[in-house]
Amino acid sequence: MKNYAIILLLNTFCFFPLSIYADDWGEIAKVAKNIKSVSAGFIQEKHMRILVKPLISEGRFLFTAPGSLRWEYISPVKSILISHNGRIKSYIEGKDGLVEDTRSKSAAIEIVMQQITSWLNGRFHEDSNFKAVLVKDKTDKIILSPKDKSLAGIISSIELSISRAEAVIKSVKISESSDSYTLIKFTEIKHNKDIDEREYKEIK
Amino acid sequence: MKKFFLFAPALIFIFFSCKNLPVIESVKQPGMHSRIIPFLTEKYQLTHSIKAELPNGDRLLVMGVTVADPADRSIRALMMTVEGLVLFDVEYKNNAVIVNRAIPNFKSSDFTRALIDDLKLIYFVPHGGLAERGISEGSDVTRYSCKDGTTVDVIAEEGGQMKINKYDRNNSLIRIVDIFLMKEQLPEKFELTAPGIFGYSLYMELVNAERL
Repeated sequence: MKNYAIILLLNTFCFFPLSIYADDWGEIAKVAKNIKSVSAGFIQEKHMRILVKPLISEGRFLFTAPGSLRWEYISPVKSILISHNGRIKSYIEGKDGLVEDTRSKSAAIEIVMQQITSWLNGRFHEDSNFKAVLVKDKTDKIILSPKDKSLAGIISSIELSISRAEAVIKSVKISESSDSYTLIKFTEIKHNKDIDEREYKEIK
Repeated sequence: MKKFFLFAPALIFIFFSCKNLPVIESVKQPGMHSRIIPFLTEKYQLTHSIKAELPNGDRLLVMGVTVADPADRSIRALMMTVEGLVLFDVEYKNNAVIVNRAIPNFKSSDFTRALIDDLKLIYFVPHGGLAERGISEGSDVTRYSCKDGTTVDVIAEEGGQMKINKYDRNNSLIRIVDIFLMKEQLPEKFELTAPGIFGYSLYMELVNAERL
């Protein structure tokens, strides 16, 4: 379960550096190499038929090439996942403040990290877990479908909406079934700005 | 024999840490706090953050969505990661349980039964008769004898804090719900504890409540 949760989360991380419209996978890989850092806020909406209104979470995202990541939820609960110098640390809000989560001790995380490296290089079509299709329309989309049946039982598809005009990924939609999906909308996206290394070392 | 002496201190500790059903002193006039009941009186959809401490020491942070209807004692409960991945989705109605979705680690029927029992304890007036009302250890206590042989004490302490204690057929304490804060008749911050060596605790904070 934790493996899939991490894959789900890190999928989002890794698509993010792909911020400029590209015509083909080779071009995407080329563009991804030019991204040195990304910082953004995000609003996550969980939609389900059972929910009277979507469950809203907010947070921020930081990435510095080649592999430093910080994915932080600020509300309604605090949760931080940091990957830096090949080490992963995860913190959750406990009764008395932030405490380290057992997710970071998971052996599966190493496998996921190998996959991340491939995504960070823009190699979506070489992904062993997802089949990627690039759809050009009013809003361009990359649609990822799981190759593995057991993964397909958990995530039916991941859809990235790309704004060609603004040259950024605007949102990621992760569908679990026909009546349940998570929509992550990115805000205040900044590329190639200096990010203090302490962001990947301290939880604050 | 040597093994017995090795485990004896642990057994003695477990024996004395198991709390049994306390005696209630009857009073002519029940205290005003005992009139407050922490259970739902209408159908609600409740969203909580849940900070769990599991028997193996693992800590877990999940979001929980519960639709609970006291009229027919039905429950729909979802647990999802902070990232939005649904781990577990179960429905309970007319004593029947339907698991709509369960990620491998949550497929155990023991887990499902414990979750449903815990949610019923938190949200519904105990299924059985009012047995006693009075004072125990300085607090107002309302005691229910449930149809399944368990006993539930709803304790109203003087400071306004509430507690729900559940005892098994042998009168051993099996669940404690400490309600730290109530808001508009709904528990806003509370902690459910299952005592014992395989015990766990769930600290829950209300994120959103919708009357349905």
